Parts: sequence; C-alpha cells; structure tokens
Amino acid sequence: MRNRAVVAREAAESTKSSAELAEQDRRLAEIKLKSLEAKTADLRQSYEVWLPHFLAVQNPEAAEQRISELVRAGDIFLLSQKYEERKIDPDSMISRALVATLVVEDDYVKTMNWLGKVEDLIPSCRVAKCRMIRGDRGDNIHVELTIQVPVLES
Amino acid sequence: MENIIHDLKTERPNISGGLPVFYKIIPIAFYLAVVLSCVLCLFFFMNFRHQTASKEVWQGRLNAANTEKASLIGKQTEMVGTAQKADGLAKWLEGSRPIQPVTVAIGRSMTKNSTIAELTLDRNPELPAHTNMQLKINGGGSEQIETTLDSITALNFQTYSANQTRGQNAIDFEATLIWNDK
Repeated sequence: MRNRAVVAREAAESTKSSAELAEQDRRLAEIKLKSLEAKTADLRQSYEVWLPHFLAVQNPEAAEQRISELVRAGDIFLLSQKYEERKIDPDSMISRALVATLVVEDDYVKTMNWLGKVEDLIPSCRVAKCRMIRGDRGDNIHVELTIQVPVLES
Repeated sequence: MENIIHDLKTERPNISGGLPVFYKIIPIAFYLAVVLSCVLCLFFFMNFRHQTASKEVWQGRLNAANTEKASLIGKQTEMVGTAQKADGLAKWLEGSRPIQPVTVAIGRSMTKNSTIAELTLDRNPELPAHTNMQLKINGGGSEQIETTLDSITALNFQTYSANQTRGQNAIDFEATLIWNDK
C-alpha cells in the first residue's frame, strides 16, 4: 500500500508540475494574444472596413460589368474600351485584377466628376494610368485611363 | 464403592523452570504490530486516495490549461492570418489613392495665362504608391509651377525628383508624387 501511495504521490507531483507548466504557457499565450491584438488592431479594423469593398467584386466579369454600368450611368462618351484579366502578384492576397483600358472624351467637368465617381463607387480600384489632353471641342477633355479592379482569391 | 477417587492425577515435580517473564510481551507486541500495521495501512491508503484525488485535480487543470492554450494559439493564428490579409489589402490601397482630386487640383491651379497641354499620372508598377506625374503647361512660368505644386501639397502629396524643362512659352514638368502620411 505504501508503494502504491508513493507511486500515486509521484504521479500527482508529475501531473502538478505539468499542469503548472501548462498554466504558465497558457498565461504566456494569453499575454501574446493580447499584445498581438493591440498590435494588429488598426490593421484588422481597416480589414473589416475594406473587405466588403473587395468582396463586392468576386470575379473579372463582375468588375467589367461594374465599370460598364458606371460608364453608362455617367453618360460619358466612350471612344474605346478594353478589358483584360491580368496577374498582379501571385504571392499576394490580390493576385489578379481586371484591367480596364478606357478612352473617353467629354465635357471637362462631367468627365472629372465621373472619374471621381468611379474612384468613389469602386473604392478598391486603382487608376494605374491617367493621361489627359485637350479634347476636340472647346470644353472637352480627352482622357486615357487604365483602371485595375482587384479580384480576391477565394 | 466406599472409596471415592477424587483425583486420578498424581503430583509431579516440575521438570523445567517455565518461560521468562518478558516472553509475556510477545502477544502484546503481536497485537500492537497488528494494530500498527492496520493504522499504517489506513494511513497509506488515505494518502493514496489523497494523492489520487490530487492527481485528478491537477490532471483537470492540465487539461483545461492545454485546451485554453490551444484555443488561444488558434486565435493567435487566426489573428495573424487576418493581419496578413489586411496587410495585403493595405498595400494595395496604399497604391490606390484617388487621383481625381490631384487632376482637379492641378486644373484649378492654372492661372489666367496658363493652360494644361497634357497631364499624365502614371503609377510606378513596382511601387504603386509612387505616381509619376508629367505636366505640360502652355504659358505661365515658375510661378505657375509653384502654384500647382502648392495645390498638390495641400492634398497631402509630396513631390520628389522634380524636373522642369522650359520650352518656348511652355513648361514640361515631371515629378514623383508620394502620399504624405503626416
């Protein structure tokens, strides 16, 4: 019985030290989590705010449709348009994007308002190139735009 | 039948001296040993039960700590994953600042005698947060460039690597625009 008691005591002590070690690890993990939470709070908050804008465009077709809708809604005179899907950065979360190359020519104020609206209504889009020259008519402006709309990897 | 025999056993003389007196404690010692062994057995049994119960308590704490630790590590992993994704989006957004306000500000900065002949804003493919600006202005001079740069600076953009070439009644201006976080 004594031997059994000794074995039980040793087992209890071994379990106690393991438990204390595990509790120490848990406290460490808790501190690490809190520190990580504080460190990434801004990033995560911005992620929550921005993610829906990125998710609004699930595929290149949706991006193309969105831009076409904005062109129609803005009643902008479109000279040419070209859409292509392009790989951006394979290692990144945003690995591909729809690249829209648009040439528009219309009234200066109207075109500027339209461009502002595009950037406002597709907040995740990137105007990669914008070239502006005087248009054929007095108040017209000729704008060549390259717009990238990111498509998130699902 | 008159003689009744009362005792058949006849007197015999002692042949040995008998056991010593201390031998009398042997049974006492025996019973004491029995009692003591019972007490010790009970003590070890109680100790065994106590240690077993203690082990169970510590085992429970160990399991709970391990479960909590696993959950915390899971949360950490999830948080790191979210932060990495957020970082990816932030990098994209850093190179996606709207350029329409810049074009409008440049247009508005033109003075009476100056007009924009051509304006190109081209993002650096390697560093999209850097935008190369090429501006051709008809008329105006250094003052016009100063005014234009002021209006760009007012939008929190800083100009780097500025370079201007003067032509006949025209200026070609080139610079890299970088968003100023301050």
